[in-house]
Amino acid sequence: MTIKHLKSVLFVLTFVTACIYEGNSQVDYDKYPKASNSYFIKDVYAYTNGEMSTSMTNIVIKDGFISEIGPRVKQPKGAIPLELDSMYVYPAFIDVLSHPLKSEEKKDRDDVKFPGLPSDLIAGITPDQSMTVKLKSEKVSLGKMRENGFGISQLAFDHGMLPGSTSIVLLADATDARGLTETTNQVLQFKGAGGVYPNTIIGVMAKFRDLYRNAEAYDSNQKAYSQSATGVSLPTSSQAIAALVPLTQGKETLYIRTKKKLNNYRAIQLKEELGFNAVLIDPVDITGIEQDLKDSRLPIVFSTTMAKEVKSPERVKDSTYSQLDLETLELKEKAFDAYMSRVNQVNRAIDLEIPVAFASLEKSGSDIKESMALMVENGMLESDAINALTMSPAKILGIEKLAGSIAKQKVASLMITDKPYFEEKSNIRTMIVGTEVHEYEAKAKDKKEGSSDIDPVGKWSFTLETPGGDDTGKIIIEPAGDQYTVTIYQDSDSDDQKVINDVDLEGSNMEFGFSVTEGSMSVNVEVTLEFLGENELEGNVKYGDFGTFPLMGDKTSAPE
Amino acid sequence: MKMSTSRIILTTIFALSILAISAQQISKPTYGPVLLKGATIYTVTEGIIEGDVLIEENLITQVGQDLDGGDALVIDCNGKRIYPGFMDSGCKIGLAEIGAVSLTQDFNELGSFTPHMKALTAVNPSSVHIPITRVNGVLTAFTIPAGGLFPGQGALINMHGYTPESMSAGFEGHLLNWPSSGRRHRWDRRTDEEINKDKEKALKKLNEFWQSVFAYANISSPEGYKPQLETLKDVAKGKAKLLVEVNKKGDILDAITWVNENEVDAIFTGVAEGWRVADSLAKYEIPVITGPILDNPSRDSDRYDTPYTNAGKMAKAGVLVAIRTNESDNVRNLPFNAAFAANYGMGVETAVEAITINPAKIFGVDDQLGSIEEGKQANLFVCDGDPFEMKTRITHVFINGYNIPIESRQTLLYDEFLERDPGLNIKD
Amino acid sequence: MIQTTQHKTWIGLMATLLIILTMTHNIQGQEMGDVLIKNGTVITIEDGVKENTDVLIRDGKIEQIGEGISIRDIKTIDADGKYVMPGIIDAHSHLGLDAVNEATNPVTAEVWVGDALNPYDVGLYRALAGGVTTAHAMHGSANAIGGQCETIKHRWGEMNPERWRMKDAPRTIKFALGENPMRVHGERNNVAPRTRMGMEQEFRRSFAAAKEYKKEKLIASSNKNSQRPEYSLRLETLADILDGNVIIHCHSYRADEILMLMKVLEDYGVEDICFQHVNEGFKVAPELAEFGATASVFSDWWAYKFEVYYSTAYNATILTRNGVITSINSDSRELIRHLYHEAAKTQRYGDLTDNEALRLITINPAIQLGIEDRVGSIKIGKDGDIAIFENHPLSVYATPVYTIVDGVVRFNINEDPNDVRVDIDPKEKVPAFYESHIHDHELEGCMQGTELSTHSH
Repeated sequence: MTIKHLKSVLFVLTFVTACIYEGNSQVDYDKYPKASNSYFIKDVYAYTNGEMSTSMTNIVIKDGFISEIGPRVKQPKGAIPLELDSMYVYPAFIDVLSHPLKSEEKKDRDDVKFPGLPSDLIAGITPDQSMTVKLKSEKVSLGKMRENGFGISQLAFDHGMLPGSTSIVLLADATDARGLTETTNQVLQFKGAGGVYPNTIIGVMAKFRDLYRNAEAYDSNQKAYSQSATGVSLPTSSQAIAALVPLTQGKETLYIRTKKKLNNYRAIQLKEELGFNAVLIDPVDITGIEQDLKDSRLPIVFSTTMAKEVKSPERVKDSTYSQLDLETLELKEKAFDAYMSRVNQVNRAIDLEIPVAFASLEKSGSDIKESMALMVENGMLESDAINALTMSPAKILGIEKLAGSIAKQKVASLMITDKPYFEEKSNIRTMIVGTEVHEYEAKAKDKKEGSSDIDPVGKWSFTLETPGGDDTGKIIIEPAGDQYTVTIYQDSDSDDQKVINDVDLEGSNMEFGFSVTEGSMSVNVEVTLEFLGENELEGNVKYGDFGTFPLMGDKTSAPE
Repeated sequence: MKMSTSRIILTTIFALSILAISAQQISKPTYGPVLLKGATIYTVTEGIIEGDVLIEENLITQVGQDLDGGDALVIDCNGKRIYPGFMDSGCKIGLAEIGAVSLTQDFNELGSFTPHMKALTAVNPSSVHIPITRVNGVLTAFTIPAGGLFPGQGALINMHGYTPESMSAGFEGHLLNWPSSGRRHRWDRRTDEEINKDKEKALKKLNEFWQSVFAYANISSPEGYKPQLETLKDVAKGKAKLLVEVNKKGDILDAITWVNENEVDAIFTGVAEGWRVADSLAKYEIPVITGPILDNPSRDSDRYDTPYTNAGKMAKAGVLVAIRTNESDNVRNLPFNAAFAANYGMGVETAVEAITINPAKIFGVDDQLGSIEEGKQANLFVCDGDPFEMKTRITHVFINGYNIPIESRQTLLYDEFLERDPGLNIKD
Repeated sequence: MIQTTQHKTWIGLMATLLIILTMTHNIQGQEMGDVLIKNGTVITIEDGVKENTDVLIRDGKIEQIGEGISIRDIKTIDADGKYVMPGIIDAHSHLGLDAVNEATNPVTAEVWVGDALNPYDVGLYRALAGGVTTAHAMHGSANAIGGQCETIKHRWGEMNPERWRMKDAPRTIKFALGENPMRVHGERNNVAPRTRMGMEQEFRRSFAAAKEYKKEKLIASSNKNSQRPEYSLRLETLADILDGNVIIHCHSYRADEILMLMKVLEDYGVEDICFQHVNEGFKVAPELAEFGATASVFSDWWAYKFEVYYSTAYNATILTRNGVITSINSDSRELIRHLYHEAAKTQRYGDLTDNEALRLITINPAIQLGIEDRVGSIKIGKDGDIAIFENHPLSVYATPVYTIVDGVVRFNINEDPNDVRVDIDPKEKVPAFYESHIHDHELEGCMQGTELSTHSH
């Protein structure tokens, strides 16, 4: 155990002790003590060494730490048993960067006389703003992240190019139970100040260099002053510059939010030039630049919503292929390939041995499971996925001795599920974060989101508004397993029909397409329907390049 | 023969002396019968003829060998070529003087429905742009308003005259900016949904307006002052042409349907993606004014030479194609636009037609302009080689019979500053 | 391809992507190429025109020029009946930049558009398809002293902007005079400068401050006890200009403002300047020649604002005839595709010889960028940057057929696909249609990002 590690642990323990012992002059009887700070978890499968154990084991948690693990471990006296038999215990996920504050105040620019000389605050340069201080003064709710399986997160501000220093915390409810490490970091965003300096990417880059070099100068002046104050005046600097000194000393890491592909190169450029520690955050798409990123040796932290940000296959169904011209077909295939490349990019980074992890950013991680499942479905190993959410981020944050796996002496930061995490119907049932235990109900089974009340099955008549006047027709929707078969008649009185199989109902929406051939011309028709309750629907019909027209419909009869 | 040679020399000396007197003022055109002798005549409609052209008053009166011009000024055109004046079928000349000085910009009235705006009203005969344009052989231009759904009426004008009326080349035409489903430009940040909504809204506006125009046109004696409707009466009845600016593939197809349904006699302009639907344009016999050719492709995925090849592809499919610059400052580049089209698939002959007889046909003035034929207006120029080539010099320009000096403010500045006098200011 | 993609499985797709990836890496590894161009009409620019001549490029450099060069196992281009000229150089471009103007301050010497390079801009490929191999990617003209520029090579396909930089090209910086900076600061922001008088003082106060800064630094470094002075990237850059380490490229139009800046530079001992646009350069051509200033002009643009109303397309000819080293630039994603045609305009407007006209887009811009030892002519030891044309490049019927950068064929009219995009947005099923490009140059030229971008180069 290194000295640094010990110090961190002590830091945690101080918090824990403060919880237990409130020996002071006055007593608050609105509060009461916990029955115990020790817990006993019996007969569970535990995820250790990159896999789920095949036999069951027991775990003891004491004062926020894992104190014992093993099949023969007995329930200690004074420990509360948790009812988790046969469940699956994972190290809780570690979120590399999140923005927990709702909306940060917009600074008023009206009083800026010279757009080239705004205050640091207006320019978005506030590295002296501290999340650790903010957490003490403001109630910040972290429950949402925890609900999605995260036990630890690095919290950051979101405003401006240098929004402030971060704080790495346990996602506990009690503010005094969140302490994990004293380590803080800085964040850089390629965000202009909006009409004032620095307004553009070139301004932000130049301003950062300027601030960094000034921080170095300030640091060296301070050192000179402390060595020999005679004949040397007291060094001065702005608060912002002073706050960047730890970064220049290598004591902090710069988490650079890139978003655009080329911003990754800009981040690397600054790092190479100035020589600080850095991590790339939220590169939306690394297609084609994987090797350069590997060569930079920077860890990459993807957004938890990354894989979901593009709607999946805008792919032309096989049946309509012949209707498209070759050029359109190739373009659509390219778009699809680009989509797949995004889905697979984390896995490619792992294959290149780039350290990867995830960040919930503004989204609290609510898409994490869906995102990870999509990646696993497309070839990522489950063990790589779990690693990217646990040990890998622990290493990136420098807390791997404290967290990231289930082991003795580590902080109790555990996620307990009723089925293996990647099984479709698994639920997070318990989150243990330090001294806190949070329990969750299993979600209702089999119900797709919001689909409960909608039954599209039946006969519908519709009116389609086109520039050439209104058209009427009918739609028959029949069930077919989990899906539906849709028959659409373009004219109420004619037999000219299109049958579309395997249509999904998503929430109250349905989307399907078909093609219509008129002489030598063929048009792809894309239909979007929304069911408004039992007997009404509305939607849009897109006729190739001719336009999109609104459609309204009523149910004429229930299923036959 | 001797006589005429000396007259040429005299004229030249006279022109030079004017230059020496004033470097800011372009010399006055001359008028009177002229015999252009011994040229290679690119008639456009009747092939290439070796021979003479006789100009009397404002007309070409004879084309043939060994013509007798009587008292006419004889210009020896040996080794030279004669072409009908080039015609830019879409630009802003005379309506826009200085780009960033908005009060010199007369082509964009406020409002969606301004079909009653007439470009001819605002054409400035003294615009500095006019001489700069004509010395490159561009002698006629269709100058047009912009903005709005129905921005107004363009006017076909000659590049010489002291009043708009005297410049008029006999055609005015209404414009319609077809509601676009594309992005306006690279910095158009609207979402696809917003673009679609805007387009639908504009289409609705268009159709509602057109219903009013149609209803008005069919009332036997309409009451009140309704210039917006009145001016489009003939278009609604199919008696006058409508120029429809439309560029994107889907929009072109929509516009074809619209003009067919409304029985509008249409000319399509712009037509950047015409090559994608060239067969449809040909099938419905819709003439096209396209350009600029020296332009960027419309989509990032398009081949780099798409704008160069578009005109040629449409022409090959059987579309009647004219080429425009769509310029305000450099209408003089029309021949070079045509040259690029020629080089990228259209061929030189068709490209010349696209800036002479084709626009004349499209505008219905081919009985007067667009070729070297007896009885047509004397709008022509003489040059010492292929007029598309950069090294070629244009030596004579005739507009409506006027012999125009090969001068513009830009040539005058050249004459004054090539060897500036005094040169370097030496102190003390 | 289509049949296979139709039935593409996830695994199959992964394999395809892997192939794409490996391909990219091969391209990245292959920055310097070998190629033999056979039997062309070689326009060397500095050493006449050589018929039926071969040019051998090895490891990215021109190794041999002569007849009957024969090498085994080398990529060979048959240039019989074709014209082989040095790659075209554009001394004024804003292509491939994510930001062009930091318009918030009249002086922003510290910013650098090299930070904003975007090698995925398809306009760069289209420039390449017009024979352009090198471009000066410039800061805009919103500021008296704008940002530093970047000289790039058009290495289309390279994903890393670092590999687009022309290593060892001298540093350059953008200055601007006249209407643009006056409008942005004086007219819009209501801060000086609002006049051409105020413009002069921006340069004088900046250079004075840089001189002072240099002095303070010198004192600090010579005195052990003194503190390091406050660091200023802006003043560092200005000091570099005073030290002659940065070539100035100044956006300018009117004769008076051109004379003003030469006077200021003379007072501060700065020599290296290229005036950009310089539409009224023809009026002060003798003064420019005497100062040793160079000029980079439009072929025929005029009238887009008042300060260019008294222009003439004969500008390049007048400047050349007066001994000013002159180039023709594009400042436009449209013109950059046919600079050979723009150069040819000097034969319509003036009477430059073929070689004089071609110098305007080759060796002269190279001199203005300080890279004439590397590019701008076909010469042994220079970079293997070549444009090959069907028909003479100054003919209006010229067609670029190959463009070679460092010996690597980056454009081949017969083999390149129609869609050359390298960064594809999966959200865009079919790439967007842009209605207007005629205004591209207004929106993206010198005043891009200043909200005053209409007609304002």
